[in-house]
Amino acid sequence: MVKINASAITYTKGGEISKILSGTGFSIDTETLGPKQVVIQALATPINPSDLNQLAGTYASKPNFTSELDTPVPVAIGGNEGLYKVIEVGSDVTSYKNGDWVIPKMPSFGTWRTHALVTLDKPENPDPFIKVSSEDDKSIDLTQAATVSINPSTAYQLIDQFIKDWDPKGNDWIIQNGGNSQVGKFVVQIAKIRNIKTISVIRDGKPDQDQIVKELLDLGATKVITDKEAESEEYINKIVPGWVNEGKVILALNCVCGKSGSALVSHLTGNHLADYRSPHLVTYGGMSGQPLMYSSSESLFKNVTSKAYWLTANTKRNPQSKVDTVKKVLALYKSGDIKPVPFNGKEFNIKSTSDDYIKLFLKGIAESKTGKQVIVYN
Amino acid sequence: ITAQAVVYAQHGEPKDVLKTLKYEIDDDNLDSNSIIVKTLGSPVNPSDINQIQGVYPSKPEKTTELGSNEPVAVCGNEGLFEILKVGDNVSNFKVGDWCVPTSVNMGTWRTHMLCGGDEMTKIPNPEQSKANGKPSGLSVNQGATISVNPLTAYLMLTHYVKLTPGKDWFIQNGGNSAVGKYATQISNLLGINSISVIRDRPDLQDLIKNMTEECGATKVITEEQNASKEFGSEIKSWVKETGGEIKLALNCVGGKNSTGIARKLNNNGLMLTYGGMSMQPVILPTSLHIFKNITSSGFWVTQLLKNDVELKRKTLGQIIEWYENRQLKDAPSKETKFNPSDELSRYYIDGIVNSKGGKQLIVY
Repeated sequence: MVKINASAITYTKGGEISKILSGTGFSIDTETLGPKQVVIQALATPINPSDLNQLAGTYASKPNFTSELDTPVPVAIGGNEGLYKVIEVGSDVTSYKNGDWVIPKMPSFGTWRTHALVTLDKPENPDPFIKVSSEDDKSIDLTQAATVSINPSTAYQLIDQFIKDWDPKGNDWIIQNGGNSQVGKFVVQIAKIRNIKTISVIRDGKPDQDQIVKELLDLGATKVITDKEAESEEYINKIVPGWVNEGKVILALNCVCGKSGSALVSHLTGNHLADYRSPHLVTYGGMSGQPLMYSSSESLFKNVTSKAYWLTANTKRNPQSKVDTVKKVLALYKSGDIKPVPFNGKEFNIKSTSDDYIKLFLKGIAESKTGKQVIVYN
Repeated sequence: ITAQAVVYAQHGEPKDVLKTLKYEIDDDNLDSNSIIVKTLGSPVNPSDINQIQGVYPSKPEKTTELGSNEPVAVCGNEGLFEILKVGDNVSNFKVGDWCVPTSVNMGTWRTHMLCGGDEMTKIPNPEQSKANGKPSGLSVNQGATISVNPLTAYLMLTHYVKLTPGKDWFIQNGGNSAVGKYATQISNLLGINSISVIRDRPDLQDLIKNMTEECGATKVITEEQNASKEFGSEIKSWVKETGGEIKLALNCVGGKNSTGIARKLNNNGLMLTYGGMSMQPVILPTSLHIFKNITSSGFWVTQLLKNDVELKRKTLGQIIEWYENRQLKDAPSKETKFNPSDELSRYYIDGIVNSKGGKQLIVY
């Protein structure tokens, strides 16, 4: 192999997504590969909501602009998550070999591309990848590895980061909105193996509601309720306290805000008996477009702590935390304790043109509203 | 001793449910671990009223201990008392000492109380302060209102976030409230910069002058300025000048006002909510919360101190020292003197009505 024809989804400035994105063709010359360089080829690249916010320019983590694609002006490459296979390694590279499956460790890698030439041992990011598997190790499959970097890692850290002293007897509860989201589905699975009970709040009035409830219960949710129920006095004062009984709703996970977020606070259990752990509301998204709001008196009388969670910030602050979390999630996959949450795969032939590439991405982005989209390469 | 207490058997509106209960305290057969105190002053706090209405989560137990026919609770949580008689085994008090309740729900709206020696915490009376060479002794108002507002202000400023003197800042709404003025004075004593948000009013400049000169406020701004984006950059320049950060926001208002002060916080800042005067919820824009990693917590002094007697003792000690050194001014109360031939409940029912115009203190 000498010259690889590659494609990337690029943009020069943030804005309306359908207008700013281009398919850019570029080439990678493996003849001139440096001793500490590797070439990787995409296996799967997800489209996440935060990628779209980044394109729109409303995301606090900004993309990197690069000239390495030989474009007339520097461009940013879309995407923050991707699974790749190592296909070429330089003469001094010992940590990777051809056939290794890797994911970028840091955000803003620009993952929406068929190939990348990456230099290892850069002082600012000496080890840019997390190795998740290899071609001779079949213990992790593509559906597990493709999305391991964001959704299950978020769920894992949400459960780990705020409440340190989970009740070992299983009397602690998590309540979460966005129960039908990817993160929500990982939360119920991970909580279950940790002996933590869960209440997942889903949107009311979906045509396939019964099916969603069944899926969540099968994944390990203790209870599934609708947002209408969650906001009702009856559920706040009677039904949920009846389920929780002597236990404590100690963690509320909020990716919606608005009314839905304030209802979660109403479900948190205040201090009682000899249990003085502060109940936490943790916000990691705002799908409703509304701000977070909650009652002052509930906040102070129940000693509620409202914290924000952002995986990207954690990773930037402490890159090793990302490596550790991904390794823990992979171990849960290998032991069979959790299973991947299905996504909509969109197949792309790696030899196709950059025009086909951008068309497929625009289609995937448009369909993101109906469920998680992942471009899968063959 | 013939005593009077203001009691309620059922929750409801104070004028409907408050009664005066007269009872006898037998001071000849005092239990060896008990003390008898007389009340010097006890104020009407908003939380006392909420407790009577039944909308406050901390509730006193109802008993027939005072000889009532049905179980009743005595109102009031804050007050200053003087020791009249001490049981044989009580070593921490002598007659004439001043004291305040160690915890809440003691029922302070009464003329006298029989209680355990450990249920009261000693504070210096004026003769003791003088004997210790202090410039001043505590006034009845200072002693009777020491347990809630000054402790709230001090603990919010010191217990959660490390603010570097001379550099760091805190911002608060309700800057003209009792807690707000204590927070301003205490931050000044600690060398911490303050921004107090107050409502615009006809005598705005007088109030700003007063808060700056009397309380040591660093900056005082209006709610309109708090809500203005342009004014935000002005505040940034103040903070830049000191080389510090706005690490703490104290919120007793809620609504847009809470959003305004949260926006001023630096990354990783903390907002403490200790009240909700506007009756609006706490409002935090999602992106501000997540991208600046703002934490928003409730603060309730009762809850914090219930389990930490040592913290309460240390904090009280600090406030007392500042009062004795005339470094801290108390928020004034409207004082009404109780005439023992009257019904005690009438004084508090009037006090509750008059509370809207300022804090009411019944002195004995």
